[in-house]
Amino acid sequence: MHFIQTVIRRDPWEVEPRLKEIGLTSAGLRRVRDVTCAARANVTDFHAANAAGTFAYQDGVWCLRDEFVDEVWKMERPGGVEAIVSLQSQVRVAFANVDRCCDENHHPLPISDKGSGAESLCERNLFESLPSFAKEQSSLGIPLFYCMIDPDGRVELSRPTIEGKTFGPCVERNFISNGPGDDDGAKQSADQFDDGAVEITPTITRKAA
Amino acid sequence: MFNPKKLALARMRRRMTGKGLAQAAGITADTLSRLEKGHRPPDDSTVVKLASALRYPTEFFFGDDPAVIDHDGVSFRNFSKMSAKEKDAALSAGQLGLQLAQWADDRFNLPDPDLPDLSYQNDPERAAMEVRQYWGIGERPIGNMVGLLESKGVRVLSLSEDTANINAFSFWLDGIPYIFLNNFKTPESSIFDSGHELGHLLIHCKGDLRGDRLLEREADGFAAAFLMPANDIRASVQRPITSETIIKAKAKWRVSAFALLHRLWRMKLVSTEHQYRSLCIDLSRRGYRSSEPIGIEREISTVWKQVFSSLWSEKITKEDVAKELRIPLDEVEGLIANMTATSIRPEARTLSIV
Repeated sequence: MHFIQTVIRRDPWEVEPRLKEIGLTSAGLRRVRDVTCAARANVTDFHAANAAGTFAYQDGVWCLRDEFVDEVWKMERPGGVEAIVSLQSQVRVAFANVDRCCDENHHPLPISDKGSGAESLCERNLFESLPSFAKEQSSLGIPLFYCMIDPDGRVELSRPTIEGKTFGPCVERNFISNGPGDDDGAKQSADQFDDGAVEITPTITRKAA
Repeated sequence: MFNPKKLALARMRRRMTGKGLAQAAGITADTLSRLEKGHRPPDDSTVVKLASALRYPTEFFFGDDPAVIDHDGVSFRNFSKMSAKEKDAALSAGQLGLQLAQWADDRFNLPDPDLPDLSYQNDPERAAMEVRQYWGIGERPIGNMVGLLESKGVRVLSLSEDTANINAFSFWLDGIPYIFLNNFKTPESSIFDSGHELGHLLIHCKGDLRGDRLLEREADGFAAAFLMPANDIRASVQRPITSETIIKAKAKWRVSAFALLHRLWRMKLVSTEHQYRSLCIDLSRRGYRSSEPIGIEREISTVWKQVFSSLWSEKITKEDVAKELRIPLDEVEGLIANMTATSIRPEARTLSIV
C-alpha cells in the first residue's frame, strides 16, 4: 500500500486526454451539468427544503446514463451506488451534488452522506493528516469516479476517497468547467438575488480584425 | 449612385409627408415624388437640400438598398391604434437597427440564436413552460429579461418613438430574431413587452402577423406565463390577495402591479370578478394604472454596453459609428437609447394596458 499526491488537472489540454482515456467527453459532462441546473430551477417555495438537491440528483443520475450508456458504458448499481461502468477502461462513474467544485484549495464535499456502498467502492482515506495525499488504488476492483457538480454549475470528474460518509482527499481531480459562462459565453449566475432570480448575461468578444 | 429607397426611408424616419419634405427642401412635391420613384436621379444641390431638410448625411442617400423587412412578418403591439406614419417610422427604425446590428455582428462575436421552434404550440401557457425548460430556467423569476434574450441570440434594440401607440415589435430575418422596444415606458412595461415579443418570435414565427387580435392575446398570455410561472406564483403569493400583497410581490417577477393582478385573476387566485375589479380600482387610486410608484430599475442591454465600451477603449465613439454607417448620430443614439446605461424612471404617462 502506498500513497500519492493528488493529481489535479485544471486545463483542457491536460483534462481532455484523460477524459478520452477514461472514455468520457467534457461536452457530455457539461450536458449533465446543464440538466441538473435546470432541475434545480424547477423548485418553488412549495417544494420540500431538500427538493433542489433531490431534483438535481435524480436528473443528474438519469442524464449521466442517458449521455454515456452505450456498447462500452453500462448502467450498474453496485451496493446501491447509482453508476455507470466501463469494463474497457475499468472505470465506474457516479453522480454527486457537491458544495464546491474546481477549487484546488477545497476538497469537494457531497451535499448528502455517502453510504457504505460508495465507501467500499472508493476505499477509505488512510491519510487524514495529509489531505493532499490519497491511497493510490482501490483494492476492491474498479475505481469509482464522481461527476461532481456544484450549485453554481462547476463540474469536475474526480476520484475521491470516502470516510465518515463524506469525501476525503481525491486520488485525482479533473476540472471540467467553471460554470455555464465558462463554456458558451453566456454567463449565468443563479441565486444572485434573495429570491433566486435567474440572471443571465452574455459576454461578447471582439472579432479579429 | 442615388438610392430612392433611402430617401423614402429617411423621410419616414422623420415622419414627414412628401409635401412637407418638398417644402422644407425647397423643391416641388412633383420633383420629390419623381425622385422617390426613382424616375430620375437628383442633382448634387438637391441632394444637399434634402439631406439638410431630413438632417441626414448626404452619403446616406447613396449605395445599396436598405435591409428589407417583411412587413407581414412583423408583429406590432397596439397595431390598431397606430397611424400609418407611426408604423412606417417604426419599420424604418427597424431597417436602421438592422444596419447597426449587422455592423456589430461583423465586429463582435455575439451569441448565436438559441430559440426553440414552438410554432406547433397553440397554448401560450405550455409554450412558456417549454421554453423555460429548454433554457433550463424552470420556475425561477428572471432577473434580467434583456440579458436573457441577448444571451439566447436575440438582438434587442430601442425604439425612440415618443408615442404610447408603439410598444414594441419583433421579426426574424436571416435566422436572427430581433426585438425593438419602446424604452420610454416604465421598466416593468418594457419587460412585459419583451416577453410579448418573445412569444411572437417563438410561437408565431411562421405566418402573417398583421394586426391579428388573437395572436396579440396569445403573445400576452405567453408573456404572463413566461414572466410569472404558474407554480412559482402559487407558491409565492400570499393569500388573501390585497393591493399590498401585489405591490410587494410584483418585484420578484419584475412586472407591473396590473400585470400581476391580471395573472392572478387568470389563475383564479383572485377568485371573483368583484375582487378583481376592487383591486383594479384600489391600484388605480394608488397610481399604478399609469405608472409604477414603487418600481424597478430599467434593464440595460449587456451586448450594446459591451460593444460601445469596447469601441470606446479603442477610441471609437458613437459619432464614428454613425459616420461609418452613414446615418445621423441621433438615429444611432435612438437605437440604443436607455440601453447602455441606467437612466431615471420616466414620469407617469398614459400607456396602453398590458
